[in-house]
Amino acid sequence: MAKTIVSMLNVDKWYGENHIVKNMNLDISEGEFLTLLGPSGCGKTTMLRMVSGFEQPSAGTIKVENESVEKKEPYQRNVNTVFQNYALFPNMNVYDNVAYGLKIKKVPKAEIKKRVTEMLKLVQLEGFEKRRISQMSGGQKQRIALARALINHPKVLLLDEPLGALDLKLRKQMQIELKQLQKRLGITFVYVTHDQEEALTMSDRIAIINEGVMEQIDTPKNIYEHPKTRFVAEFIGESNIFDTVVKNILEDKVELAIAEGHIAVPRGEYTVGEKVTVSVRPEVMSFSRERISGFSVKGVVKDIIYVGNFVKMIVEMSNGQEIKITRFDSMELSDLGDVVYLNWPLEKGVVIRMEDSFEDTV
Amino acid sequence: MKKKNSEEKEKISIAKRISQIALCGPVTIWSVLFIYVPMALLLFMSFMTKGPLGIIKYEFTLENYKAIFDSVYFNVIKESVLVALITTVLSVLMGYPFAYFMAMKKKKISGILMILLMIPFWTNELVIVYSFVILLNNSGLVNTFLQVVGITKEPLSMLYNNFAVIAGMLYMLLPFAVLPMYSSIEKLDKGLLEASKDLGAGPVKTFFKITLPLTAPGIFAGVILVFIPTIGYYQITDMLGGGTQMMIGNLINNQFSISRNWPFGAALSMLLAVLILVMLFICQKIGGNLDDLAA
Repeated sequence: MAKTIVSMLNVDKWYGENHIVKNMNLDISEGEFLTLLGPSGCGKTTMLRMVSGFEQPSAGTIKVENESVEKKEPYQRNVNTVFQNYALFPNMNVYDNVAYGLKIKKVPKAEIKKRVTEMLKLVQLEGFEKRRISQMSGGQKQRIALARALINHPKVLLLDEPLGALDLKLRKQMQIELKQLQKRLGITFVYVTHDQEEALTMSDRIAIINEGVMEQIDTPKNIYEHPKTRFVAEFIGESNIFDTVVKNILEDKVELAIAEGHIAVPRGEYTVGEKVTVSVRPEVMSFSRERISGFSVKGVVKDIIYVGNFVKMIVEMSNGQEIKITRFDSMELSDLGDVVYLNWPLEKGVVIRMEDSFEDTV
Repeated sequence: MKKKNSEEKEKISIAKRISQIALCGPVTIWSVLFIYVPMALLLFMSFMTKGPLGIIKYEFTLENYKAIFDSVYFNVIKESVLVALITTVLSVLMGYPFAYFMAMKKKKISGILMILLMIPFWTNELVIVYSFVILLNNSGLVNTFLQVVGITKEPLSMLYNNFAVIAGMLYMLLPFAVLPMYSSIEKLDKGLLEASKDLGAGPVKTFFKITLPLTAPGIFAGVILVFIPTIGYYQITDMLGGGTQMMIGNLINNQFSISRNWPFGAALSMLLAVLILVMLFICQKIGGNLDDLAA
């Protein structure tokens, strides 16, 4: 286990009446790429700003390298930030922007020159030293902001939705570059985003934040395949959520009643009448024209949507709930208006018990 | 068909013309009649000769301009520039912190401060100047207070000298310095200040490396707005300087009203215009570049 570099202990943050961050406990390991993921207004940026020192927690402790940073001003902390809008200094050229931190620390000129040159090489901006910030494109500004922060060799680099302003193609390219850079430098990255795909692509671990509470923290694979809460299941990727009640406990499986019909999950510790939520990813959903034993989920094909790299079929159940099924090829789908029966491999249904007791489930 | 098109185009261009004339015409006529023509007349007059009893003799001469460098007059000019510069520098030094404070406050509070700043404009200039006389004279409020408290034994002579003149001008012109500075500080992206702190710069370094350079255009605008009126002011100099202080404005006034030497007055007016142009040029040279950087 790598050593912990940043930790939040029972951190709370209030803005007046608003409880933005609620009793947050989080350990960030040295060298990892951790993403704080959540919808806008969930408190993830506030968490980042408490680490950088621009906000003070209302309660609780934040430690960087095992030392409380409560009394440290932002300019005394060994962390650097890449801001959402880059916040590059318009009164300086590219070189002076990148050199800023070193100049403040009064590093000798020759060394500054050497390190800035190295940094600009690292972010592929050699030869742009004398350019004005206003002459640079969004992607280039992004790289300058990155270089300006990294040149200080921070213990932790905080990134606040740094790719938000870039177009899709550039974003994807920068995602890969950022990840490679992080691996190469071995610096801890704490990355804030509301884009789940971005989080899945880059992170070693993802912390899902909703309304100031951490819903789940785990590797992208585990988060995607084993969401612990309904929120996580719905926020990460697409999910079909079934709200069910335990109906029958059989030898090899458990039958769960839905509005009309029933579904099944593998055997486990259930009691009849217990409420259980099941999440099934669209890509593991199957359908057939006839009923299949164990499942009784009937619906009508309502829509077929071409998304590019896959095709999505929407099946409407009798209670109006829409179930999504995705395939790579439209040949594998049914026709509009067809009556279909849905099913999936038992183990692919992720069981989420009532949200207040989600800790019990795995 | 083609002909019709070109006719239509002509119609459009005529309509455009008319709107242009309607929009810019009045201002153009006004500035030509009341600024450019008088300036041209002044320029012409400044090369003419003074006749007896204030009559202008239409003979070309450079004497008026040579007279400017007469030590008596030249000292007045030097003094004027000095007083104007001191007033300008003081108004920036006093105005900038206030503008900064105002810009960092919530909209509601900064609005109230703005009104407080504007109050001097609601008062007649004469009233303001007389209140200064009442406050600053030897038995005035300020001197009485200082003596009662025991800071001074004798009344300080605060009236009828450069101190009074500068104080009066500062009072009148401080809002002109504050407003452009406020607007540039208010527009400053506060994220840049955070970025600077994030990179290890404390408040002082952040101010000198980021805030000051980026708000310099506002400072230069304030400098121009204060310097130009100060160098030409003569009412304040007259009343608070008590006739002991002479500035270019008073000198020009005297040439036209008392000495009846219009050609020399015209030459001095030209000099004043040149001084202002030089100041504008300097500010634009420095401030313009900075403005470009900040954009």
